[in-house]
Order: sequence, then structure tokens, then C-alpha cells
Amino acid sequence: MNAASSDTYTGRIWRRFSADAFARNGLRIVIALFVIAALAPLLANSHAILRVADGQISFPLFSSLESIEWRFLIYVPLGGLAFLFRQNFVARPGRSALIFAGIIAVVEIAIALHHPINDSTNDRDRAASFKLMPPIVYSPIESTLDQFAPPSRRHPCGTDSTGRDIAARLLHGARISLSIGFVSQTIALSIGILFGGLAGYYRGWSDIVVCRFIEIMDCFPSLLLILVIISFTGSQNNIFVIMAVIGFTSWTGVARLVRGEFLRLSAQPFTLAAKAVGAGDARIILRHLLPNSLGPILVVGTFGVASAILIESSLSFLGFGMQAPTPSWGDILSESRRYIDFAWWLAFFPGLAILITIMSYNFVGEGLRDAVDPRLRVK
Amino acid sequence: MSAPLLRVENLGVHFGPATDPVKAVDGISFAMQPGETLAVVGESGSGKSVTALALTRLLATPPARIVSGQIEFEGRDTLRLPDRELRSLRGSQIAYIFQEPASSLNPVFTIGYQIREAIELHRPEVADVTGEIIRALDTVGIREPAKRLDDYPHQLSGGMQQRVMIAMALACQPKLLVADEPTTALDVTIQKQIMDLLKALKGTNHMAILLITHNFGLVADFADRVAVMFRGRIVETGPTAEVLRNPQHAYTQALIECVPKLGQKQHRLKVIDYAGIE
Repeated sequence: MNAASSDTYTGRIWRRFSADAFARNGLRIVIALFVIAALAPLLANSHAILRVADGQISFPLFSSLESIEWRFLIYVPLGGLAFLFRQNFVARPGRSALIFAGIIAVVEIAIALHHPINDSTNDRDRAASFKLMPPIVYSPIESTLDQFAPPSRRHPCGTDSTGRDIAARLLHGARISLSIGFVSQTIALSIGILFGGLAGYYRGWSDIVVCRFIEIMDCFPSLLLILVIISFTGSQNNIFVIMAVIGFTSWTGVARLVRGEFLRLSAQPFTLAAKAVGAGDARIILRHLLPNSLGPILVVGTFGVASAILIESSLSFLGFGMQAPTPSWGDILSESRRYIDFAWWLAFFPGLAILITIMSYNFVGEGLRDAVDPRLRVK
Repeated sequence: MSAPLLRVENLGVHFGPATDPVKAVDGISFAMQPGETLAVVGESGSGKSVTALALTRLLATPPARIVSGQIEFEGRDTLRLPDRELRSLRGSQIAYIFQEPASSLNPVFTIGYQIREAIELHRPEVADVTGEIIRALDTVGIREPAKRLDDYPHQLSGGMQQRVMIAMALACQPKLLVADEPTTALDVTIQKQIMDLLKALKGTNHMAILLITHNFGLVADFADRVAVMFRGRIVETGPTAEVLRNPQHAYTQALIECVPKLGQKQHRLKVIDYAGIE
């Protein structure tokens, strides 16, 4: 790894992070989950990837994809590529912004021109001279007559009460869980950094107001608060509302941390030095305080993603989150309750998926926490 | 005499409750001519650093309160200047070097970036900023400055870090350099190097230096004039040689007595007897 060998701040953190086997493998699993989420429609679909029939070649799977699925498929790998070649972009920010804008424009135009063919017939049983099917030949919302089938070669994780394939639902559910975890934490981090930063940098009145507000927020059990908000807005099954509600109720920890970091860093001589050079508030906050507190912020963010995924699962389990037919891990678990005495796979596989995801995130978070802790310089 | 560069009149800075304040700086007055070096000497807590920070309102208020006085820099009262003008004064006209170079540099940015920040803030007319940074590092005696641009502060030694701080302070060609115990955190050989560097730069740049120190050794061959501070007041001021040779105030005498003399046998170091001074 190139970044690991250089003696920069991030280089040292990366070295210490990757020395920890739990953190390293946790990160691998998290990345794998993202890849699975991005590729879900290619992994589980009733349409064939490639179909040759009557001398005609067609790609039923790709022509059936919705625009949101195209975005997933294109932007997630692009994001990964951009991360790998980040050095090249940092060197020439102006040109890179142009390239990104160009790519996004081309992709969006192509998506706008694309009309998905809503073909409900599946390619499993359709005759063809050649067909290439995905590893799991069922779509997540497709009911079959094969109800309560135990795990088998055809249904690796069994089926549920309406004959939907659990493996397909889990793969697609990964998108719901990961995107809720990510987006809600982005919201929580933004609010937390804003309020915590105000309190920690300006102190005085803003500090008092923000701290009391945090304490008031913390008085409410957040799950109950979320339930109340969702039932009042009457917007179950709206992924954006759920993301926003989780984000708006879980920023207090971030705000507290940022406030503490800013208080600590404000007392550091380099903040005084920056002021003495003539830097204004915005420059001091953005260039001096924020970059120096990024490590701890990243750590709470990682733990936050894990807890947001857990909250979403709890919400679905209680019937307030994403509902069937939308595949969601919590919803599959919720359904399993009624059939637990004979259909163990309904509870086992989504439970396992949640467990592995949360554990990986927590390993990554703990690894990061140890890596950014300056008192642990041994590794 | 020409108009002074800096004129401080009856400056008072208090901490703590208004009813029973700690008078960190208790009505001091002094003036500096352009290009002059003034050393403010005193022990910990005598108000030297508070005075230095008050010059451009760098003190955190609260807890500090500037209760009285005027600070005129080139005829402008910095205590009453709007924040915006004050910011453009900081760094470009009055620059600072602080005690601990290691923590005065931002650990997450390269030194080149940090000097660039100072130049971009105050000298937008400079076209070749990188060349200017290299020149700044070169003047403070950093070898192969072009290779050091991308170094992080922790990769440099303490002496080099302080040189970088000086380069940053000088990058905007200030008229007044406030050096707040610039060598306290460094060992003796590096101290000498840094002081020699400051002395050389003082000559070439024609800037005034306000040196804050508790070390009479530094004062002797560096400063034109000395002001001795004790409990928030300036108790004695005058040309360096005169003050050192013939100290008038009891505290100055005691302070000079504390410096061990070469070739004199002493069983114990002298300690200031405060009761005798009051």
C-alpha cells in the first residue's frame, strides 16, 4: 500500500489500523457488504443476464433495471475507483471536478433515456438455446408457490410464507440497511459537527444553549421518539423519512464529542498561532480545528452507522420501518416471529446478517479508535 | 525622535471577578521605535505574555478583561480597531513566535502549507507563492528548503520547528515581531542558533522585535532596551547595558543576582527575597 509507507498522519493511522486483525477483517467485510449491496440485482434476479433464443441475443436483466438500480451499479464502483486514484484528483482539483461532472452528466442522461421493460415473466423456466442466470434465480419481491421451503440448493436460505426467496431478500435488504446506516449518520454528523462546533468554538451563550438542547434530546428514549415521529407523520415505508428521523435523533453524541474536541484544540498553541497569523473564525474552524478532530469524529461515525442499522432493524421489526414487499432485514425477522417453531431459517439468516454487519462495523470503529489514540503509539 | 512604532499607554488586564480582580497587567506604559529591540524581562506570572497577547487582542476574553489603556500601533488603536482590520494587522504588521514550536504548528498540515496560508492571507499579490515559501525557509537557515515543503511538523527537530515558525512570521515582512520566549523550550545550543538567527534577520529586515523572556543572558547581547516587569508593573526600564550594570530597582537587582556568575564559587543559588522588595 502506498499510503501506508509514507509518514503522514493518515499513513500512520492506516498502519496502526491494519496491524489489528479484527479491524482489518471488519473493514474487508464492510467493503464486501457494499459490493454485495451494489451488485444485488446481478446476484439475485429472476431475469437472465444473457439470453439467446430464436437466434436473438438479449439482456433481460439489464433492460429490467430501474434507474435507481443503475445509479447504484454505476456510482458505487466509480466511487471505489475514485478513492483508489485519489492522489491524482487531489493534485489537480479543477480538472477532476470537471471529469466528475462530465461522468455524472453522461450517466444521468443515459439513465433518463433508459426505459425499463416491466417484464414480469421470469427466465427461469423459459426455454432458450443459451441463458446465463444470476447465482440466485429469484427476485426479492417475487412470490412463488414454494412456501416455507427449508434451505436447499435452489433456495440457499429458504423461503417465507408467500414463497419469496430469503437469500434474494437478504441481498437486496443489504442496500436498505447500509444506505440507511450511511445516510442517517451523514445527517447526524453534519448536525453534530455544526452544533458541537458552535458550542466548542464560541462558548458562552451558544455553548449553554447547545448543551441544554443536547440534554433535553437525551432525556427522550430515542427509539420511542422515532416511533412517535413516524406515527405522527404517517410515513412508514418511506426510506428517506426513516433516514432523516434516525439522523435527527442520534446527533447528540457527535455534538458532545465535537464540542469537547474543539474546546481542547482551542487551547492548543497552534490555534493561537493561527489567530496570530490573522486567520478568521471560518479558517480556524475549517482548517485547524476540524481536520484535527476528524479521527475521533470518524470513530463515532462508524459506531453510529452500526447503531443506525440496528435501529432500522428494530423499527422494521416493530412494524414501523420498511415494510414488505420492500426487502429489509428487520422486516424478515419480524415476520419470522409467527413461524419460528417450524421455520428457523426465517429468523436465523437475517439475524446472522445483522450480527455480522454490526460486528464488522464495531470492529472497524474500535480499530479506528485505537489507531487515532495518540497514547497507543506502540504499534 | 521620530514617531514611535508602538505606544502602550496605561494598559491594564484583569482576570477573575470584577470585585476582586487578579491584576495580571496593572497599568503599564512603554513605547518602541521602528527597528528597535525591546526586551521585557520578568519571572512567571509577571504579565509579560499577557502584555504581548494584548497587543493584538489575542487574549481570550473572557476570562481576561482589558480594563484600561491604549495601544497605538502606527497611530491606530488596536484595542478599538474592528475585528476585520485587526485580523489584517495580525501577521502582516505584527507577527508572533511562541514558546513551544512543536505545538504551535498544526500537526495535520505540511509546513509548506502552513507558510502558504500566511502568505495567501496577507500578500495576495505574490504570484509565485511556492518560490516565496522556499525563500522564506532559506532565510531561516533550513537546508534544502524545496525538499522540506512537504514535511509534517513532527518530522522536524525542535530547532527546525522554531525556524519554520520564524519563517512563517517573517513571510509577511512584519514591522514588529513579538517573540514570546522563543527559546524556552529549546536546549542551549539551539537557543544560541535561534537567537543568532533573529539577530541576523533583525539587521536585514529592519523590523522591531519585542522579546519576552525570563533569561537575562539572552537580553545582554540582543536587546537595545530592557523593561523589567514585576507583578504586572514595569518597575524599571532603560538601555540594556545600563540596566544590567547599574540596576536601580530592588527587584531588578535581585533578579540579576539570581544569575550565577562565572568564576564565582557559590554554594546555593540566590533566590529572590520578595519581602525585601515590597
